[in-house]
Amino acid sequence: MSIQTELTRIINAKSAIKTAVEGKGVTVPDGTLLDGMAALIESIEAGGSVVCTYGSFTPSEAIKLNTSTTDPAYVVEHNLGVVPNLFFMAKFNNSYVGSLDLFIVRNKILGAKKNILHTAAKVAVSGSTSYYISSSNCKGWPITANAMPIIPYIASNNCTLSTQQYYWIAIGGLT
Amino acid sequence: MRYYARYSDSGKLIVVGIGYGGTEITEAEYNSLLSEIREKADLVNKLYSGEITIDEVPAGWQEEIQRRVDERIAAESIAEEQDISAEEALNILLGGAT
Repeated sequence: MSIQTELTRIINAKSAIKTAVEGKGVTVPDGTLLDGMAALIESIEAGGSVVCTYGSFTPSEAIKLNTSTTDPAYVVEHNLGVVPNLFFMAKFNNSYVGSLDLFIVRNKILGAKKNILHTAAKVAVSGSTSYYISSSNCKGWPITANAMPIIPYIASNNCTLSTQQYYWIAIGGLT
Repeated sequence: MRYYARYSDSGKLIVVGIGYGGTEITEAEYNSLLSEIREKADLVNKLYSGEITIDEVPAGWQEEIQRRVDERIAAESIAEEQDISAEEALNILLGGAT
């Protein structure tokens, strides 16, 4: 490529950056050089918009959840980009009504340690097959900006994800 | 709409789904795999309930279907034996707050 081609490419990229930064509510003064863009980008206020991803999955056969291994038995890759505030997971069973399970992710500050622990509690509990997302007992499986581990309530429980279709919605940016 | 299949390290199908993760597949592949999953689940239920015998299961699926029925029976036996302490019950009610 020629020098002119490269210069044109850089000029166009700077113009695109200027447009994008101003689209986020930050004014780019005339004459701002490329090396001044970083500071303007950093001044963009974080948050302010609610983000949401959704999807579904169907296990090929029942997935037995457990807390005895290093990795959780199943992880939902929600790819939200932030730790979700709410995570809804629903299983629709055609044979009967009432198989809707809701999970509310909460940020729990742990006392003097001031660690943010993301836990989620299942609103509807159904006996020995109860499961939920992450746990204060399973610190190795955090809720992250891209993934939600599904683990059982109690290590001794025989918890499974059945071969039905599970729908999920991850919502973030609420706080 | 993105369709995907997730496989174990040994190449066994774990889930099919819509959204992120796994290996992207076509809608036709997704529908085909989903149909097979549901068909096998139905056979497991029927074999478990005694509605059919193993001979009525397609030969290529017999081993898997029988294994899944055996696992289901074993799992239900374990569940019946379980008992939870008052502390565990409280933890469930409080949603893991303790």
